[in-house]
Amino acid sequence: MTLSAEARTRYFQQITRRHFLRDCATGLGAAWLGTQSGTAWAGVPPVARDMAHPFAPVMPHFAPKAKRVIFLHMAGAPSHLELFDYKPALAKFDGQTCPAQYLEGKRFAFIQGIPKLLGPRFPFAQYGSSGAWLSDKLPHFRKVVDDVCFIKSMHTDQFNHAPAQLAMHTGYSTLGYPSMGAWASYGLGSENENLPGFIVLLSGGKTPDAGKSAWGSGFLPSVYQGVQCRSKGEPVLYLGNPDGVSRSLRRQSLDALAELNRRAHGDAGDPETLTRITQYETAFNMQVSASAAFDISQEPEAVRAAYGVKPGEEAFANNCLLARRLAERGVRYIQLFHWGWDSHGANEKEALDEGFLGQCRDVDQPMTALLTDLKQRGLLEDTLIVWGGEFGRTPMRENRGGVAMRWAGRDHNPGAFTMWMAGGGVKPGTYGASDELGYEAVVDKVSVHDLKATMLHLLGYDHKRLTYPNQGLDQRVTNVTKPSEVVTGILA
Amino acid sequence: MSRLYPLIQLAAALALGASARAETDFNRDIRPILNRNCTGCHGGVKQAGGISFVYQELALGEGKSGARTILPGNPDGSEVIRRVLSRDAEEQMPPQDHGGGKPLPAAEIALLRQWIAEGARWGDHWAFVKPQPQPVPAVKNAAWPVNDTDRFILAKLESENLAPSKAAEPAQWLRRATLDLTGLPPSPQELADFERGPSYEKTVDRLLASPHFGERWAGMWMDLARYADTQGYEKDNGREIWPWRDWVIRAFNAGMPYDQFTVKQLAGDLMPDASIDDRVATGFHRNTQTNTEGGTNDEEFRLHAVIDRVNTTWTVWQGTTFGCVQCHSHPYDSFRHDDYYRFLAIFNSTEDADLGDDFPRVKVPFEPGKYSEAEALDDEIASLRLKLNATADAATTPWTPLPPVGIKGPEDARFIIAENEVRVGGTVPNGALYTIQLPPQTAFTALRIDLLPQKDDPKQWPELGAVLGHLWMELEDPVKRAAARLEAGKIKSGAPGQEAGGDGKTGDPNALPPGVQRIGFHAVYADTLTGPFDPEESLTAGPGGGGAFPALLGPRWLVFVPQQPVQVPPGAVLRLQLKHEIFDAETKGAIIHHFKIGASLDPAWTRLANDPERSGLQNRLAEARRKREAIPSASSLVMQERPPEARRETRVFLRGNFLAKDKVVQGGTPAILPQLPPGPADRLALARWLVSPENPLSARVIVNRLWAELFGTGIIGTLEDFGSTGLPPSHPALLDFLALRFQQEQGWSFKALLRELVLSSTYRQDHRTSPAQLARDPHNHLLGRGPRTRLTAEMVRDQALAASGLLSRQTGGAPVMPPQPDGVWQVVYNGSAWITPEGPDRYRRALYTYWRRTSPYPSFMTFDAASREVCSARRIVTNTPLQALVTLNDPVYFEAAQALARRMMAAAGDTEARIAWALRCVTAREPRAADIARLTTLFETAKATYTADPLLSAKAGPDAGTAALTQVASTILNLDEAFTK
Repeated sequence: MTLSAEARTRYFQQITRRHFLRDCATGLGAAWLGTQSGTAWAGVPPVARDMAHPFAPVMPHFAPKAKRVIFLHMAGAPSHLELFDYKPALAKFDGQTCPAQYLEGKRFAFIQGIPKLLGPRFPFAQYGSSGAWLSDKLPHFRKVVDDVCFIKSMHTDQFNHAPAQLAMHTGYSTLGYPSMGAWASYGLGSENENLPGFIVLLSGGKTPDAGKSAWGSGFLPSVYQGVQCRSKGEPVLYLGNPDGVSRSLRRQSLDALAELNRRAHGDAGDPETLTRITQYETAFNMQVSASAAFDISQEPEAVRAAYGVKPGEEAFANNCLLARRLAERGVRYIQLFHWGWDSHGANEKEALDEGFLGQCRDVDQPMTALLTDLKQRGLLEDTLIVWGGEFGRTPMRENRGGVAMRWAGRDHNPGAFTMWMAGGGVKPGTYGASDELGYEAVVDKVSVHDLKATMLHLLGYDHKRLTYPNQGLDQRVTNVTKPSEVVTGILA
Repeated sequence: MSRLYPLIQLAAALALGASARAETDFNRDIRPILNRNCTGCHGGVKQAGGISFVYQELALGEGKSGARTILPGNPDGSEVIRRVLSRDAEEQMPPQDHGGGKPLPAAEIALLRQWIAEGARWGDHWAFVKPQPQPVPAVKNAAWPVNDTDRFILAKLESENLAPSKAAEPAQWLRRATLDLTGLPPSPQELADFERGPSYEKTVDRLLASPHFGERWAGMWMDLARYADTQGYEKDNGREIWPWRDWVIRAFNAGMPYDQFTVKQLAGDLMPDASIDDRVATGFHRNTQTNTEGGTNDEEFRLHAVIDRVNTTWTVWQGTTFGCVQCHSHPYDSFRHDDYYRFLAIFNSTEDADLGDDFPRVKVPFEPGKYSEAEALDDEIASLRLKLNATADAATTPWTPLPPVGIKGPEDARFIIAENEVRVGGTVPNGALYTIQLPPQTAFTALRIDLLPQKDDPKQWPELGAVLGHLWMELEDPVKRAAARLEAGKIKSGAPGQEAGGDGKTGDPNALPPGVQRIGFHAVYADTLTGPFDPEESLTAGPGGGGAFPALLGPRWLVFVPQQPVQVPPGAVLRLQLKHEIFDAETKGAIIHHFKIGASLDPAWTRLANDPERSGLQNRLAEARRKREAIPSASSLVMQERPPEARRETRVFLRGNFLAKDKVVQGGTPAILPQLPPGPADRLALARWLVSPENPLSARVIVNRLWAELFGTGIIGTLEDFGSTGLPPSHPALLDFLALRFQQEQGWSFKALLRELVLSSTYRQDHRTSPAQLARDPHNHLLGRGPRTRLTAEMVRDQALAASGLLSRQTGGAPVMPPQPDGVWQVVYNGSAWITPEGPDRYRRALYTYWRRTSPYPSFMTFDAASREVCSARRIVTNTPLQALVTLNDPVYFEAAQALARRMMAAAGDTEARIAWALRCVTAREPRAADIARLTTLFETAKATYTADPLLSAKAGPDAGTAALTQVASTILNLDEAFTK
């Protein structure tokens, strides 16, 4: 079924469902619409979400271009100046004292006083028919640049990791707000009830700085929070039966359980009991389907080799392959974090000339394979891939503690960074630009809020209308206090 | 499934437009129309055309057009009526391009007209007006009510032509009441005793007196307080604040009245003669997060914490969404932007400042018997320290400016000396040494160093901190120095002083060249004693020192006194050595960027510093500190006020941005609510204001919260929002009745209120639902049946442990780490580990589980626990497959099933009796014969499977029978009736 045909079908289901809700009065969506004072809702209703079925697919505002998202978050913030954003002027001024106008009114995490400029550490060249600039540290990725939209004018307003990651995923730098994946689940529900609708996979040896809040549900019901799954060990917590319980024993127990629960329902008449019976059946199915989804050994050797998987490890490569398997199975929002990009130069691992190279190797082949694989399977057209960190890096060399440092590194820079997107209704090419030093976004600036507005647009939602009441406001993922708009220039 | 949005309100909304009534009521009839249609553009934030329907004076005034928006008594002269009637696209309200452009329904226009004709009487939103005494309604079925609460509920039911349900069986009530009051299920023995001769009142008294009562209600309070055992944010290091949690448990168990409880939670430290216990109580607002990520600005995250305290106070005590006022006036309720900052000012002068060690903390003796000794020592230490800093008559001394004649420092630092002041630019590394050459023949008895902000505009303050780590003098005799140089044959060019004090970087005083004498200062006096460091630390090397940390709020000064007056001989050179000693990456070295030096010749300073009494005080102080250290104590985060002279100035933030400050405001409460009494506008005044008879909200909010804990939904469904965007109350008169009774007759006692509620006929109803009832009132807002709600995350765990006999009933103490899956705990910074104990601590109640904010205990999160990042007023209950995976597969629950199976074996001799016993133990109800039979079949099948597969059997239990019984036990622990009460 094409997307628009599916959207139409859903729409009719939705109307029918609302009708059902109103008449038999067991649901909440309709009632909720009727009762909230809803100044902002006076015209167009928000999501009609029936909490009895929190993942039932819901009709979006308009026909979506993307049905699912794979967000590859490079936690720690990779240097755009060493990967995508080629700055010959910065090379020219390498080692010179940073002019005062770049420092006035700026807040840095670690730079003190007057730092020096640091030229790009690696050679750049143009690739593909689009002539996209890349450094020589992404040799695989250069093969797919023609499928990719580079946004070189990203900016944020946070210069520390945890707040910036929160801003990237929840729209707010403080805690307590739902993440984009939670909003997407709340808005769109799930296509596969035997798998969580919002799955998070980590690699790089550390949880991202914002912790679980980066995939939390904030003030949305907790059912919409991301489910952290593992590429090592049991993929979903408590998925496997305890030792000594076989699948057939579990089946026997669940049959007895269902019978007793049905009697309890007959006695007390609580509709929640029926929901619980269903959820136990779903859990039973999930045990098989989730285990299968996470079993990358089922992939042909050639596919595993293409991704460069590392069996038994919590590797980004494994997670990329899992992302494709989960996308195939209808998981709505797949969020990967790969930690280790915080190239301050404070030690070897954080050095642009050392640890940074390992990070590039970790991601270059897998992310290229993911894009290629999705494309070959026809999944790229309705899967949106988003790649990037929480901010960029400074064109100045870090001088932590006010002294010159042995290793070359860059401090946090909220003013400019590069992200790329592919698939799901995005037009390949290059969008926006930073200034000649790569310090500030200057042309067609895209804020982290604009990014989310655009992602929601591709998913079929007007970000200003996907709202939820909290603290007296109709809250949304794009932060009600900040301007945000859909970046129409990157839409296919 | 969640019960977020009650259907009953739909009926109310539909009824609204029906017809004009006898007399309009602004809040009931008019405000909803305005909020639904008008305030989006004409509200507190947007006031399009100069018109607002939030503030009475604006609504009754003129818009920019000059027309009177609402002219009382004259609908036809009111612009609002003309505009809602207009069909001109330019004039129609709401405009055609807004909200679908539909004109207002005729019925609503009629209401507006009627209201204006009747005089357009404005009314504050009901929740901002004090509760009024409510007559207890008459009811037809006089036999049913046991108390007035029942009469309110019954009257409403009768008005809807509904009847209450029959009373629940004793077992159903006992299970519900026991779980509601103590968080634990009734034991089989308690159940049997109760059924033998049900005494409801005695049972309730027993439950209220249980030590587990406090644990159950502390669980609720911990969500509101956003309690966790870690700091949050990136590093999320551990913190010790469990003594606060234990304080709450003790307070609830002791039946501390809620007004007193409130004062201690918010301002125990400011109470007269505050004890250690009173100070521990203030941990409520220290449960905010601390951000120790490298490179974060402490002042920024201190403000986040203060803002969180403001918003949390409003949510918890006032059920009001005050957070929006941070950025702009409230969109719907009459709170103005400035109100927020006046309120914030009350919280803005505590000592805590987002520091990594969570300063300030109070040391809480492990042995309660040591409290009085510890308190006496704490008082002595505080008063001795103040005495030692007192400058007496020396304080009036005049200071002569002493501008340096030269100053050296790190290579990339740039010094500018002008108008007696020194400004430092360029790059100043952490640990920098400033070598300051004073004018020739300088003489003084004391030096005063003023640490000044870099920016002159106070709106730009505070700045990064400035700490004077170590200050000393070096006196160079040029004759001796030259002789020494000649002797060494190392004549160098350059000004004297270049090599002095070592290499200009390390400042190693041991590296002094010959002819240079080092002179330390004998005493230091500070303008105020505040912050984590003692100014005394400036006299010696090592971290800390006088000044401002982590933020410089404004000018500060320190006076340094040498033992003897200094008189620099002619030809000699006196240099001050000022060494920075802070190396914390987060704070950028607390560098001094702007300062001036003054000199005094007043002999009072020398006398003061050499007073023999002074060394006596110093000895006593050292002794008191030593004794205090010797008392084994936990260390709990507390609120502590800065000294009056060091209070922070609070300015309005433009659009909520802390970098864009505006005018200064003084502490106070919002204009539409009662004002604070005369006197200091501090936390103590605020806390007393919250629980004063004049406050319209505190009693209503807490009564509603307790109600919701028992009945599943509040009288107001939005526990966190009593404002005009919250849901209206289902039983408004009952809410006021209960609130006043709670304040005036029950003495703010949780126990008294809960006792009355769980003994009410309303609560005692059977929770069975008929299809007719379900259709009529699906979420039981009318309470025509008993509540049937799911257990909380904590209760799910505690019940499994209690039923299986594993539960440890120890109360209080440091948090524990029950089993959780490998890989959940990922800590890279401090090497702390999740170590599961063997023995009873493995089986403690859920509330004692170590709560790490960035990786909370997974099974609790699955059962809808709050994340504890910010205040959570309400958990939204869900029903998901992941919950099934927890209670079926989590080793904690499998272990419970195994233990329950062992108990079953011991409880009875045959399988059916064992199953019957377990069903009753877990669900409290009399087991159905069919259920026993079905589980017996399960047992037989499972036993056959295990018998045929000894390897499998061995993993589940010692023999096939036990293994099979474990399967049955697990099934029973997963029953719907096990998850509900």
